[in-house]
Amino acid sequence: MKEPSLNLLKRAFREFYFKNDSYIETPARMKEREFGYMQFNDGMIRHLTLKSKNELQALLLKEIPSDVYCSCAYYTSPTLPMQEKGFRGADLIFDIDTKELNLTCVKEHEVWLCNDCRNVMPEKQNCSRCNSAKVEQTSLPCENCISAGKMEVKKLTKILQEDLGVAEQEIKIYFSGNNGFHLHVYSKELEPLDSPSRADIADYIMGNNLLPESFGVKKNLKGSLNDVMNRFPNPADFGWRGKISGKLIKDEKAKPKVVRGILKNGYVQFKVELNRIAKEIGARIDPKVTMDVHRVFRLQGTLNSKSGLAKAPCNDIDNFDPFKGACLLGDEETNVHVMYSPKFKLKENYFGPFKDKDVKLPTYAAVYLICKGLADA
Amino acid sequence: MVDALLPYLSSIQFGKGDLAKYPFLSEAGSYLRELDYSLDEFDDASRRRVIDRAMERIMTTLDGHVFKQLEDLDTEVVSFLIALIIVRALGMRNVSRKYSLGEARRAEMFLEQDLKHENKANVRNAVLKRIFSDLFALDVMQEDGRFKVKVSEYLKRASYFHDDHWKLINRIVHNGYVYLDPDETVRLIRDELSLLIYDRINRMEVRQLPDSIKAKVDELRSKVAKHAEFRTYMVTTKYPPCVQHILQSLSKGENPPHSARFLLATYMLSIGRSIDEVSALFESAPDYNERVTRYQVEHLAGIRGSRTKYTCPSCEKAASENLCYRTEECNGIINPVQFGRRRAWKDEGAKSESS
Repeated sequence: MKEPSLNLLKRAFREFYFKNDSYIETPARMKEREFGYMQFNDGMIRHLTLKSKNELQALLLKEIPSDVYCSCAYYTSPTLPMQEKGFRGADLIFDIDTKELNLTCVKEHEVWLCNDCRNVMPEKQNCSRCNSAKVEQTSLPCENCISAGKMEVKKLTKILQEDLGVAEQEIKIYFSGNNGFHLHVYSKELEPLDSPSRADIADYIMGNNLLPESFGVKKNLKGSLNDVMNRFPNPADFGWRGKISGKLIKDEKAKPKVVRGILKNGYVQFKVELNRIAKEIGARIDPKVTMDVHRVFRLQGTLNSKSGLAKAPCNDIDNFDPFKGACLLGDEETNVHVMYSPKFKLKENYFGPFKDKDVKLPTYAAVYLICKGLADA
Repeated sequence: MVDALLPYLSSIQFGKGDLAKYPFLSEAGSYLRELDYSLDEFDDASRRRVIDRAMERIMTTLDGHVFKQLEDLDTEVVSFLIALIIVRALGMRNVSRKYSLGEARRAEMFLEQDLKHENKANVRNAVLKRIFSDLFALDVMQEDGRFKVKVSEYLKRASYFHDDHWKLINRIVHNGYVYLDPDETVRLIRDELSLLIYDRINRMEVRQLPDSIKAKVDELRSKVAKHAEFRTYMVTTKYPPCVQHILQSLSKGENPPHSARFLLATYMLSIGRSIDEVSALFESAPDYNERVTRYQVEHLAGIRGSRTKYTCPSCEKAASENLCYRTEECNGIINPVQFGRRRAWKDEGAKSESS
């Protein structure tokens, strides 16, 4: 990143941390957690401990980090190397990234940036200017992306509450600050779970590895129709059996017909069908995040350097608008050169589209485009 | 107050007949103390029968079967105790492990029966309270004839089971509980039960043994010796450290994870070991079953199932599964299979230089 852009970001981030110290959340049992941060144009620093809100505030103002992280785990000695930290449990965390949802709208607001000459291209290809193969995607998520992300959040919270028995007040939902949502579960009961147990929970939520045998359908299909009928679940049954049954059977009378169809098409076909339905019902989370107990996760209330937006709490997920509720930088106008940008909306104002243009933008919009790699100060 | 509690208390106590099935319980030990046994009495001919029975318990288990006979409390508790003494006196960790698992499987069989018995609510309650809850801190609840445990308690145990059938998604889960049938409920504690018995063996104090028991220890030693020799032979330094580590863990009678077994078997197959040789490596694993192991090794070799011949996982994959014990000699290799070749090449180089 060029020097003037870097200075603008640092100025904007410092101002935010100076004015909004009450917005940044101090995580529970702070002394037992590991903290880390990224510096602009520099690497990650982790294995830190912060004992109070004042220490955190001092770090934010002194270092002006590009991103701030905190462990989901609780440790006896958070600053020691990983094997010696002494794991005492961890919050259960989930990451929903709208980029992973294969949404059709992405084509309309994604561009590809050359890492070598910063040329902007509409499609993935070797750089049209310098022929470099180092190109990366950048996307300005739209309202459709956010709605799709919210749908996944709702699916996830429903499974957590109805099946896994997590209480509503144990779940905290956040906009991730860029392309998705983060969910934190604070449950004394689930806190001690190790990584394989969390991987199993992630599979449960995503609908992975569902066996036809759980529905009474066996590989050799030798069981009579009645055997399978007796074992085949009804929509009111608990867990995944009921969820799948609800999709396959509209009313009780249709069950024999559905079961006959399954037996006729065979085990493999049913397994494919099960996986298809399970993917649709399950929430699309990133399983690596959930199963990694040693991960440092973005700290609630801090800024995301991929957008300049904050990791903001969503207390009312239906009405939460991240382009308003998470856009917290200043309004002071500044001049930037925009290489390319589709039309976008922040704080109820529309900007763009721009192509190779010098424009005057409020700080929050200028920072947004610089963070996306689409503009320079 | 006490009167109100009486019916409850009586419902969570075992009768003598039921206690005979679970000789590892502290009640069984107390009963034995009341009988006031002395080890010296076992040289007496009348006591031989119970020693033979102890030996039978051990041998049936080491042969991979479950010892199913059930007699009176006295016989069961004493033969169990003598079996523990014999295994402890032998001092071979893999035998202790295998015997512990065998006793756990025996208890598992009785537990399943007791949980399934619809008319014996008092026995069922005693099993759930005294064994599941008191011994293993697993609170099992009953709901409409089904058993249920908390999701977290289920995952602590079942996330280590290999079969997809045990994955949470293939269970009935609702409102924070996993619903299970009696067999599945019992399977959850098998490993802990086995560990409990293993621990009991290790805590046994073996001082001066009567000759009748000493003779059984010697008999057992001669029966298991050939396996031990085989294993010592197999752990040589020509294998990469990851493989050596798994072999050592097996030779100690430990239960390596699936990923480790996969690495060991695919490695051995790729360096040209036969199905027999590879299957035999797993003999000392506490859950060894010859037929199943052979099938699995044949599967990996591409003889069975999908006919895909599995290759040895890379060093990177092994590291991600915490199986890598890299040493200087591993330098430059990206797959454990290359370790052997590299060493062979180096050794040959050294030979030709010296000649």
